[in-house]
Amino acid sequence: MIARSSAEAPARASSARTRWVRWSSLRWKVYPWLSILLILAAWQLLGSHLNPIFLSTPSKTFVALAHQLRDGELPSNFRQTALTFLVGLGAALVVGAPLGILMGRHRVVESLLEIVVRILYSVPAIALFPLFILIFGINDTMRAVVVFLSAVFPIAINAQSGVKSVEAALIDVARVFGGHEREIFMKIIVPGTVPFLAGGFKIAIGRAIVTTVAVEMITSSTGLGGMMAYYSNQLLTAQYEAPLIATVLLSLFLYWLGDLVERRFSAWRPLEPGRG
Amino acid sequence: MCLVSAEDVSLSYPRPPREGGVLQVLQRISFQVHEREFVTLIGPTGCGKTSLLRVVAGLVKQSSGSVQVGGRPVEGPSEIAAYVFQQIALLPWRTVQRNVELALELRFHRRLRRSDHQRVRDVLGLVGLRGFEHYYPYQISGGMQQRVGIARALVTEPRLLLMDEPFGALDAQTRRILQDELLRWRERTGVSVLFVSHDLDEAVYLSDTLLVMSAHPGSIIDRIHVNLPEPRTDHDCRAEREYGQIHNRAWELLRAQNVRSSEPDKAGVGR
Repeated sequence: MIARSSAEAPARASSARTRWVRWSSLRWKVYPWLSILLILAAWQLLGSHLNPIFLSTPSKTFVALAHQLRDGELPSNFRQTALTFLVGLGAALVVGAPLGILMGRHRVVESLLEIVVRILYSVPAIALFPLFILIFGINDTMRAVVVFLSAVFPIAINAQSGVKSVEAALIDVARVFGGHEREIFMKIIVPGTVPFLAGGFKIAIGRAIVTTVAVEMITSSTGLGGMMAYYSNQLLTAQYEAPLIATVLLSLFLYWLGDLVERRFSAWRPLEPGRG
Repeated sequence: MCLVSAEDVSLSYPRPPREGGVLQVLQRISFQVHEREFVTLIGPTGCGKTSLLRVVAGLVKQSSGSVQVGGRPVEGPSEIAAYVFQQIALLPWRTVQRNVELALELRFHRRLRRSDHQRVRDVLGLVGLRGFEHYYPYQISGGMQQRVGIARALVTEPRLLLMDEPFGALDAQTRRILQDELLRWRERTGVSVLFVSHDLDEAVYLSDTLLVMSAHPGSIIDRIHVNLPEPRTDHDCRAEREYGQIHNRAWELLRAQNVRSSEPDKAGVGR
C-alpha cells in the first residue's frame, strides 16, 4: 500500500510537469484567441445596447456575412479588393525596395530624393484621388496607383535606413578580401537590409489596406469598400460590417505572410531576445 | 625577403572646417616585416596603430610615403594578405562555415568548388571549430567567433596576416588560450604577422619585433627585438629574465607618454 502510493506520487508529479510544459508552449497560441473572444464579447455587449444604426452585433454580422458569402456578393467583391490591394502593394515593394536601397547607398540620389520621399510619405495618397481620376479615369488602374502610392514610401524609407544600419566593418571585410562593388552590394548590403524591408513591408500592408477600402468607398460601388459604402448609406449596419470583417481577414493574412518571409530570411537573429 | 616595407609613411585628414588645418595621424613611419616574422605595433590608444594597419591593408591610402606588400606598391587590398578585425565582423546571417567561405567567394569572384569546400573544412579543423560549422555567430562565444574570424583569414592561405587587436574584446582567459593557439597556427602555416595591440604582455609574448609608437602624431619611437626561447608555448616564457627586461623597457616608453599627455597644458593638443 505504502510502497505503491510512493511509486505513484512521482508519476503524478511528472505528468503534472509535462502538462505544464505543454501549456507553457501552447499558451502563446491561446492568448491571441483569448483577446479575440474578449473583443467579440465586448462588441456583442455594446452592440445589443446601442441603436443598431450605429453598431450591430457580431452574431448579426456573421449571419449577414454568411448570406453574402452564399449569394456570391462577398466573394466577387473580395476578389476585386484583393486584386487592387495586391497589385498596389506588390508594385510598391518592387519599386520601393530598390529605391530605398539606392538612396541608402548613393549620397547624391539620397540628397535629391529623400526630401521628396518624406513629403510624399506625409501626403495621404487618398487626398490626391481627384488628380488620378483626371489622369486614369475611375477604374482599377487608378485605384491600384493610389494604393501603390500609399505603400511605396514606408518601404523605401525603411530600406534606406536598413542600408545605413549595415555595419561599416562588414563592408570593410568585403573590401579587404577583394570584393567588388557588386559583390559588396549583393553579399553584404542586400541581406543586411532584409529585416528592415520586412518591417517596412508590414507598415505598408496597413496603409495599403486602409487606402484600398477608402478609395473603393469614394470611387466605386464594387469591392469591399463599395459594399461598405452602399450598405452604410442604407443604414444596414450588419451588412456593412461583414465586408469590414473580410477586409481585416485579408490584411491579417498578409501580415502572417510577411512574418513568414521575415522568419525565413532572418533565421540568424536570436528568437525572442531578452524576453521571458 | 621583405613582405611589408613602409617608408616615410604619413597620413593626415583635414580637420572639421570650424577648427581648420589638418590632423596628422601618422608621421614619417618606416618599418619592415620579413618573411615568417611576427611584428607588433604597440602604443597608447589613438596613436594611429590601427590606421597604419589599414594603410598596409590597402583600406586607406597614405598621404605621402610608400608602402609595399610582397614587393608591390599597395593600390588596394593585396592578394597575399588577410585581415582579422577587432570587432570580428562576422556576417550575422551566415553560419560559421558560410562566413569562412565568404573570403574565398570574394577572392575568386566565383562559386565555390569541391576543392574550396575541402579547404574550408581543413581550416575549420585547424582552428578547432569542427562541429560548429552550422552555428550562427550569435550562438557561439566571443572566443569562438574570433576563431571564425581567424579561419576566414587563414582560408585564403595568406603570406601575411594583419591583425587589429584581435583579442581585445575577449576575457583574459580566452585571450591567453587564443594567444597560444595563434603561435601554433603560425608555426603550422608559416604566415607572417603584423599585429596591433595595446596590451604589452600580449605583445612581448607573441612578437619577434616590437614597434613602440607614440601618439600625436603617430610615430615609431623604438624597435625592440624579442629573443625568447622557441617554441614559447612549451613553457612559461613570461618568467624569463629577458621577458621582464623587454617588458620594462617598453613600459617605460609607454608610461612616459602617458605622463606627458596627462599634463594639463598639453592634454587637449591632439584632439
